[in-house]
Amino acid sequence: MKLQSTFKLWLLLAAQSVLGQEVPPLKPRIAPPAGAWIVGIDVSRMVGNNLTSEAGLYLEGVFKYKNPSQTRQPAFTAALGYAKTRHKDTLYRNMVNYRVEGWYVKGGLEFGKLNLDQFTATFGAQVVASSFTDSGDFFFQNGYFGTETIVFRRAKSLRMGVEGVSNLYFPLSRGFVLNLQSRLSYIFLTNPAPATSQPPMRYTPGFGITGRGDISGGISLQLLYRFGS
Amino acid sequence: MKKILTKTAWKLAPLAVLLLLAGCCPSDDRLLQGQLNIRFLKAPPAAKMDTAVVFNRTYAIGGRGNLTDSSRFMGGHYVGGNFISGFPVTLAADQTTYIFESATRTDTLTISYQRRLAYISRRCGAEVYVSNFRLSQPTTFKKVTVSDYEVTINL
Repeated sequence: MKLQSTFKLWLLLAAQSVLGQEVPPLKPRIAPPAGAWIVGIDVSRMVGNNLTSEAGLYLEGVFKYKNPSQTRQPAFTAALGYAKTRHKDTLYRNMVNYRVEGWYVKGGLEFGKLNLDQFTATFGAQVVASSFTDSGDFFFQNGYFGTETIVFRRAKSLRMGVEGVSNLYFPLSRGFVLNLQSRLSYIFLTNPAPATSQPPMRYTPGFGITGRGDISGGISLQLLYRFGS
Repeated sequence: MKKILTKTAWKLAPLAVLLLLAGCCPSDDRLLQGQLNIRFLKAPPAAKMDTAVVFNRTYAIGGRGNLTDSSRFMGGHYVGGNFISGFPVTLAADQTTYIFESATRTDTLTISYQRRLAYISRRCGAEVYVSNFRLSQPTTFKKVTVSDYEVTINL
């Protein structure tokens, strides 16, 4: 009985100490600086590549997420592209109409303080995966039958590689930014590997002119727009 | 003397390299593209070469003109009596149909084969290998046998 009374008293005191306590006023919190979403298109692929030997349709969308400018954390970068091209000239002595069609994705990180309010240089690395088909028409001078054509068509190919990029950002206005990007790619996987009796993969979407080699490179110009700070 | 020879050798070296490069492509497309030889025989039991086989006109579907007109042939095909060597085959399809017209009748012969496209190099491009010749459809000739690159026709 005495124990119950003591317990009740203890509960009463505890409730008073909690309920009766004044709640301290909320301190004003400073919101962390928000990052910025950056979207854009590769302008040079749409315009510039049609001036070279690989004419066709090139589309590349670019996406980036920039961490707050106060930090030096890397920015996330990605791209999604589509290419449908046709080689304008004769290739490999007797091939015409070399055609490529396929999709590619890129994803990676960009290092350096990405401040889009002023001229900025960054560098980055990304992984590239490209899925495409290529074909072409081999022609032969066959005497009595004249010039004859055999269509070469390769099964769908997957190529993966890594790409080192450097970016030069030129702010155009509050939202728009131009990015002059230089890239150097190394393809480490081609599946299925082309047989020696097959012509090289001259053009690989996402990588550019490749041929039998594993290294490719190029320069492109991206028009970007940023949302956020 | 030795010095002069050495100098001359150095001067001729680029020419030798050029000749070497020029010779790396398959030199004769006809060899790669496959040829048919056609031999005519009289009907058994007198199965021997018929030296009097004459067709007014022989041509292939898709070809250009009369096959027995030697001026139409490219690369020295020979037409003589019972034997025709280097009969061309089309590379655009897996079979070639030939029409043989004589004064009294018209015969048809269709030969099928396998084509294999093979890329050689950037400079030489690709070639086509034709093999496995066989009789494709019923023919109007009495008897036709095909072995390797030779078609024997019994008249």
